Amino acid sequence: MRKLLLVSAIAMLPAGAFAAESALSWAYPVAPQGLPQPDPAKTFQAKGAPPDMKLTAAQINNAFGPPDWFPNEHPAMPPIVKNGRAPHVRACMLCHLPNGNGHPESASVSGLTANYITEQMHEFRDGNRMNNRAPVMIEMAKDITEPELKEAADYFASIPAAQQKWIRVVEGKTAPKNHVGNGGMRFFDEGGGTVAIAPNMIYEVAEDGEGAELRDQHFGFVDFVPEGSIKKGEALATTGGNGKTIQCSVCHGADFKGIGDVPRLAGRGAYYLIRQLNDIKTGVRKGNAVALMKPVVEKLSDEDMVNLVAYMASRQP
Amino acid sequence: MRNWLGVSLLVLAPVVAFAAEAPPEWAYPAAPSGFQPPPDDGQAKHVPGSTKAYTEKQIGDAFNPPDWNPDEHPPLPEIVAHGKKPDVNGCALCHLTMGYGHPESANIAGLSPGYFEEQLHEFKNGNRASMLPGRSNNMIRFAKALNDDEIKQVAAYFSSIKPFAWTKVVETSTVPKSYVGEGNMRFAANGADKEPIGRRIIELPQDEERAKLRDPHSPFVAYVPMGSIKAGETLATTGGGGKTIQCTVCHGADFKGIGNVPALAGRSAIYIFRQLNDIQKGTRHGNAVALMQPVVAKLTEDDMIGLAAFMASRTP
Repeated sequence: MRKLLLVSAIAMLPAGAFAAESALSWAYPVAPQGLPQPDPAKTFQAKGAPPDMKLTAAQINNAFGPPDWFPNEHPAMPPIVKNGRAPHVRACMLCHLPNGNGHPESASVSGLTANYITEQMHEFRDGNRMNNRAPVMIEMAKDITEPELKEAADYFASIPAAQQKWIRVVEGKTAPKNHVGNGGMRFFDEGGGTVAIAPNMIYEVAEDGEGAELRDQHFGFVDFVPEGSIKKGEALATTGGNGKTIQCSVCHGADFKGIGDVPRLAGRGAYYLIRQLNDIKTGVRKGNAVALMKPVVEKLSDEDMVNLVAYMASRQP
Repeated sequence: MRNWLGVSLLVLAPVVAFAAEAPPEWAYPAAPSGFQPPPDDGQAKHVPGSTKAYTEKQIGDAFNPPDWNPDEHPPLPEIVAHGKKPDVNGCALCHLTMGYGHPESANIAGLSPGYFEEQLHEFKNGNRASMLPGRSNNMIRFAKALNDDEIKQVAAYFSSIKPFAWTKVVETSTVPKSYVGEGNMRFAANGADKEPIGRRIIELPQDEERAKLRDPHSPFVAYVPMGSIKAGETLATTGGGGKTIQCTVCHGADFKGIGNVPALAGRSAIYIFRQLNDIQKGTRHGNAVALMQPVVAKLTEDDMIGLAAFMASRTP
């Protein structure tokens, strides 16, 4: 089953990924059309979940009641995070998970300040955060009430640093073969083998494919990044690369964990981070605070951005 | 009388300035306790370019300060014109109808609405206190009494006013002798007496009478020590070899602000000094200000004088 999925996905990938205007299309993953889906009635269980907790595929993908496999591992969850509010506001944890670390196609929102999260929702609402993934967030941002937003923001802001560790970064010339599957996520190929990592490419792959599909908050992601990229990213981030950019530490802090309402970068997924750099550079993400980022990104090449996000993803959150 | 007051203040100043943790008196002007303004002569006053007339009593009316040039600005929101009794003075009382303000308050013309609103919330939350105890009490009281809609209206109004070159910066080794009087404003003492500027910034109205009448066409002069503009420019544009961070990064290449990061160019020199100093001393803090803490941590008072002199000298 997986294998069938895989072949069809790879066959489709070039058309989807490289036909677009940007060489960074890989960072905006979209699930291929027509992937076989499990029977909605089939039951699944996350590894280590209570033995009596078995959920159907329909339940796992229920936008207004997604799975909370480990309810004892997070603070009390506000209703909007847990269940959303039909029809326009999906449960936040559907995509961002109960720990807020999210999947590569969404975003890590754990440990951001409540003000920053609130501001970003307003930016979605006001059309200042646009890309191929944005319409879903915009729909929700336009409908969510301020009290709901505050509860969600406070919840995700409260996730402790120890639970923000979610990404493992592996540098190399090659990565294990992988493909884009359900949810726009990358999964390891079952057949093994390797694929070369181009200098402007990152493969962000689910550590445990089934875990990711079950929305299990115990399994994060691996960033396979080009050889030497972390060091190059560090040089750019800490020195500015002789005027090519501005040291990230100035506003994001010496440890890149954020200062005030400037968001943390350390330990966030490379896909999310590179989308932000690219979106700011191309102008689809804008707004007041983002104006500060314009001169930071304008001279960065795709490779520079790959290097920067490889470095940031590798840092301790 | 003026002269006598000036002298007595100078005699007192060192005592105040060198007491433990006291901020530099020249940057935090406060009229001496018991200061009495000259008696009101009851006459109607005029300023050039205006057909209006106000008595001194009207000029000092916290809930209806003068609007000398109503044709030059958009309609004043109620809070700007009249405040809200009993707790909120009309903004125009100290910041003037055009927002250019006096050195003891702030030039708030042309700030972004986001920054403006945030600052009122910061006053409300206690995050904008002054190193001089009690100096922010008025703004804190106003901010607490304003609702979000009123804050939005005031912010929208002042952000719509184009910034104006309001402070002329002059490098000098001597300054007119001066004293702090009405409205906590510093004035030149009568006579031609001068004194060394020392390591101070002395900001005076270019026309004392018009400034007292709250004329929004009456700018200021900031006397700064010789060489301070250049010293400030070096710090602002290079960071001074790690002493600070280039101001341009967040405040823009022209120091006119980026997004909700405020403009620095052309604002009052002693206002800028107070902010740097209050952030360094920790009495001004908060989320956005956290970014400024590493910027100011290693600055000396001289560095801050240079930065304030340079910023005030720039075209707003």
